[in-house]
Amino acid sequence: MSYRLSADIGGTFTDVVCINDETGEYTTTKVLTTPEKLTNGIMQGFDEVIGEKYQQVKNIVHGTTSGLNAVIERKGAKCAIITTRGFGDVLEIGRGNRPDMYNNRYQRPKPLVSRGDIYEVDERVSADGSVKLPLQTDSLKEIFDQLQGNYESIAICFINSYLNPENEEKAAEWLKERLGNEVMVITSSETAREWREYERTSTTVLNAYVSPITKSHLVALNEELRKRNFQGNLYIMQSNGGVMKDEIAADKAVQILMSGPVGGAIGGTVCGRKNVIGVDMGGTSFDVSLIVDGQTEITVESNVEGFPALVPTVNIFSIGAGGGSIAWEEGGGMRVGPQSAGAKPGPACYGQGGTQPTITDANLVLGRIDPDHFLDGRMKLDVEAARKAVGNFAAKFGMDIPTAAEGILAIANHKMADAIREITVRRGIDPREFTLLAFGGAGPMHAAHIAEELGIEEVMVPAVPGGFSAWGMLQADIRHDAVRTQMAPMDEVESETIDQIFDVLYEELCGVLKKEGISPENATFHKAMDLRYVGQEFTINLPVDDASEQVFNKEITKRNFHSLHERLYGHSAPGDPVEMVNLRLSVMAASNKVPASPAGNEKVAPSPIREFPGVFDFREQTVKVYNRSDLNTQCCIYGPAVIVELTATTVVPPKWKLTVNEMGSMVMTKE
Amino acid sequence: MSNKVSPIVVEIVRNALNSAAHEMNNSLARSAFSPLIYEMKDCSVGIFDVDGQMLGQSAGLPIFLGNLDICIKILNDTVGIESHREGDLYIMNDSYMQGTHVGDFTTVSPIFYQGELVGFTATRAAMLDVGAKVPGACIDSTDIYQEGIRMPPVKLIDQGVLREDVLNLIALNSRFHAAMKGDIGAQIAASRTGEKRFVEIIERFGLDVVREATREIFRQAEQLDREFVKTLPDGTYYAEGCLDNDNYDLEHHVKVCCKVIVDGDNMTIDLTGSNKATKGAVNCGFAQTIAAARVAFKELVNPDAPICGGNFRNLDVIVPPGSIFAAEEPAPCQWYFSSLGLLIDLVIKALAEVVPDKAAGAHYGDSMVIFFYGTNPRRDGQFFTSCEATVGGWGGFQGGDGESALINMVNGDFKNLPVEFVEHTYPLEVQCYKIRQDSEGAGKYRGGCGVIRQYQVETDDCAIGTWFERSVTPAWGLLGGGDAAPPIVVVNPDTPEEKRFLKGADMRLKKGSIVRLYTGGGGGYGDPKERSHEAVKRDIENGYISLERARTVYGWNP
Repeated sequence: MSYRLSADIGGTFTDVVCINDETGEYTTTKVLTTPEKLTNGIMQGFDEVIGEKYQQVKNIVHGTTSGLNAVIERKGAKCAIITTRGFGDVLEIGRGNRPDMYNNRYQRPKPLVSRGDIYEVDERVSADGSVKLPLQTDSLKEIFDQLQGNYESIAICFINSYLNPENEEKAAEWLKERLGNEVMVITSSETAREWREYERTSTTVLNAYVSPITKSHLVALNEELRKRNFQGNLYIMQSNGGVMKDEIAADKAVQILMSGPVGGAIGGTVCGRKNVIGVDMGGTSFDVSLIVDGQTEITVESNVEGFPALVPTVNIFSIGAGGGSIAWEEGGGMRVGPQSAGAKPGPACYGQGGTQPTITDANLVLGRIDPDHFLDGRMKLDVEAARKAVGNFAAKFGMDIPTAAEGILAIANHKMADAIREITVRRGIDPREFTLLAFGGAGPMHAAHIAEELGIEEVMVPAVPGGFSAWGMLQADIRHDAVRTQMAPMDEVESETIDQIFDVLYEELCGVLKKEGISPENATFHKAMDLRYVGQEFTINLPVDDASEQVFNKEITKRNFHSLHERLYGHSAPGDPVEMVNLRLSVMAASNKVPASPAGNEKVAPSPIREFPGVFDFREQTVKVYNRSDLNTQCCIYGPAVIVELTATTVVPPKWKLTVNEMGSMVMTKE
Repeated sequence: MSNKVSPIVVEIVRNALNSAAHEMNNSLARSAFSPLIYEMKDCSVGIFDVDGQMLGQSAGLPIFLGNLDICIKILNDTVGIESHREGDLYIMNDSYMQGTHVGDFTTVSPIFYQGELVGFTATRAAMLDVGAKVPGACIDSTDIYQEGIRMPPVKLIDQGVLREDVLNLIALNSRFHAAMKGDIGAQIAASRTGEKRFVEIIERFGLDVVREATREIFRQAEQLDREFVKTLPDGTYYAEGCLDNDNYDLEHHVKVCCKVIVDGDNMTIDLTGSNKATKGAVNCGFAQTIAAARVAFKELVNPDAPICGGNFRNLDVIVPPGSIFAAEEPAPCQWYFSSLGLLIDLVIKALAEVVPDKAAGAHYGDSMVIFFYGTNPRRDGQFFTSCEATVGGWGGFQGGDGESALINMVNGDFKNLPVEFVEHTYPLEVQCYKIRQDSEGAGKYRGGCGVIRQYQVETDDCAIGTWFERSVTPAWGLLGGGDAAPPIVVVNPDTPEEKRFLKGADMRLKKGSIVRLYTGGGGGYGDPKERSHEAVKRDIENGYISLERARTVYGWNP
């Protein structure tokens, strides 16, 4: 037997999944995240699902929000920036924009490095890539005393280094020689060789800020695993939807910052449908991902707590709505969210002192959550506290409790549907042609209602909905990306020049593959270019041919650009000159896909574990509660019903029916 | 349930209307040609009821808040509401009607449901070029005819049929015909999106329910506005300030007077005493003056909440006829927002003593615009034009220092150009971009600092135009806080040819010339002597203030 393990470390819980490589059977668990030492929580979860059979574990994939939390809590490494004289304030100034339009007291996120820790040196690269002023080591010598012993990491970010990294590399070399291995020295050109100094500096600083703590976490985890005789590979989930080996991740922690919700999106690519809207609803957020024609959507830039990161990232839209979203009154009107009760005190029904009604409380009083089977019975919910909170709210509107509770949910469901509509319309996509894939603890509770609003006909709830992100990670391929900014009008640049740049990127990625222990023949390379019409600032990312030996074809690329522009924006200008901005190469080495877990196909119709009065459409109806493990491919359950399992609760509203497909996913359709 | 619509349905309809407005905006951004729209969000859209009251809005720039309803009223007054037919769409840009400069185009389109007029959609978007006497924007226009094409409401689509002749007429007035047609097309698409979504909402809930819900949505908004104003003590509050000049008559400041009267739950903003209309382009159409007063109000009341037709019912604005705030033909309006930025800051200043927890010291005040144009030797002598707005400091407030280096109020989420973009694209080298030490308004909570941005010109064929403002009325402090440093533009500093100025049109520069911009900081809040020791120490260590200034202004004496 061989197994794979994955752990998805969230803010409150760590989800763990163990899959039997041959049968596809899986076990899952959910343990409390241990922020002071993450390894403790992970190992507790692993031990629970694998016992002592670590030797039979082939792969472990691990996704973590620990880096992100370090940024949020400002608990990262003590970091210095070295930059070109005259440009010490690039990080603080940013792009000068003010996202809170009517707030005259707006404060931008506090920079990760304060002004006193930023040093300027004499050097300059011109806009044509030539070295105008070579690095003056004297100016490094002047600041060396301040650097030595004071920092865990140093980010070197020079103007125009995306064109020519020579000065940055010299500075790095000079510092590494004198500071040794204790201090991480990293250049902006090796982190993200793209133009725009603020975005590149921000990316480099994020990396310098989180890499040291990520590294020590990975070392600790590795130690624990080896102690238990684990001999397989440890992979880390990246924001780009791929995985990489732990030793590579230690220096590239910026690439894993936004990996938290990505596993779910990857899982969506193997759910058996081509066009999928993934909705992941937890306690505080509602994350939407889009899979179009079997592919996730990758953006070349993401935003980490207000800081830009030039890191390819699976596009996930976060909306401030979750189980903890609070219902409140304003000016005689009903409002739901965006404020959240969070994990502490949490919804009123958690019995931790919360008094304001939340979405979870509303679900509970309507009988859509079974109070005795929440988290498979591990957490008892206080129905009375929920009724009281919703009751106080209902009284403000002269309503009874069920009406107010249904109102809270109706408002929340409409809001989520509105948000999905805005996201899809912006892309020229019709949501009705998609399957809604619901996961996360609360997603399957709302999915059918949201689908109804959007005119979506099929809702799918995968196996392990609560740990779906952890399950999805096990489906991820190894992936690495490389980029060069090369701005030139397409008509003026030679195809050979483009090929040469792709060759350089190819060599760069082969170097990384070697560290992964993979030979290039066993990997696939994908080229892409960021292009735009001359005069635009905004670029669009266009995949160009995959075959690495084929000579680059400018004409085909231009034609494809025009038609992609047409598809995205509704118009194009085939006569206008096209400019290239960035060249990107990514490499993927496919992982063995996990076989689908077998679903039971007994002819026995499952019987409800209990029945109780719930409320749908403003009237009391009997709700049947089923255990998910009792369902099989032969059964068909009609709403109103609730399906309970360890990590999630699924609600089947009246007029909806639920079946189980051969992959073990539950499928809901309207009668 | 009785004939009263459930509060649940009201809230669902409220969210759906705002979402429909966002969808309109997405549709506009998705199909726009000009980066002014899809990158800089220089646009605004809304859905309105049959009386022209706003149901949902999505504004790209703060200054565009609540300025479309008046265009619907003007249209209906002009053509008669009974003349509307399904599928019609009008376009207009006259400054004296829509309020802003002619570079913005507004469209209005009636919405019909089962043959009945039920509402309107409206969009506004900035055009790349509308045929002004120079490409982009005039710095020295003296009447509106120099600023570009000027249109009253013109029927562009007649019952679903595009009037190609009218579109061609408009487009031929731009230096970029195709882009202008594209951007107008995007406005049409956005308008149709809004119409479709509004009709869907009506089909879903029923026209009567939507109307009843709308009344309740307006009532809620009005109640919140009134509840807030009621918390303010009755009285008359006053603040005044001035623009440096209108760039025509350099001898005279342009005065802005702002009296705020609080009476129970009503507020009046009275601009009486403000400068009469000027020959230079700092005039503003009435509609946009109202919008600016609403922006100031919005900064105080529920800044995060979407607005609707129920808002601002307790806000009266008195605009003196013949003043810069009620521009009449032929007053030029290109830089209307300089006056409005000051107006917004002054409303907050007037009320500061009664809303100390919502007020902040003034911000650096204006867009601080610099144009470079000429030919680019690195690109075969191609003509280039660059236009940048420059960031500056914001005011301190109860509990916090103002931010350094942020874009000005009216520009919102507008992003500045990266140094690497500028150097790649134009024959310019940026020599520094840094925080300007000691430019903050001192205070217990200090203002943010302005910036210094320095360019070296790398071509012999280059000229600059600058529009820097607010040196005579720099960002003021509040409650004992100090004023911030004013802005200044210096060409060839520390040489015999040194020139210092703020506004300048078409100044020719030789290769190697240096242009150094200093923007102002934000005003301080509270007595700087009360600033905490640690905060002053941190400011010295981080170089925001010099040791010298710390000693003399903050009483630093460790």
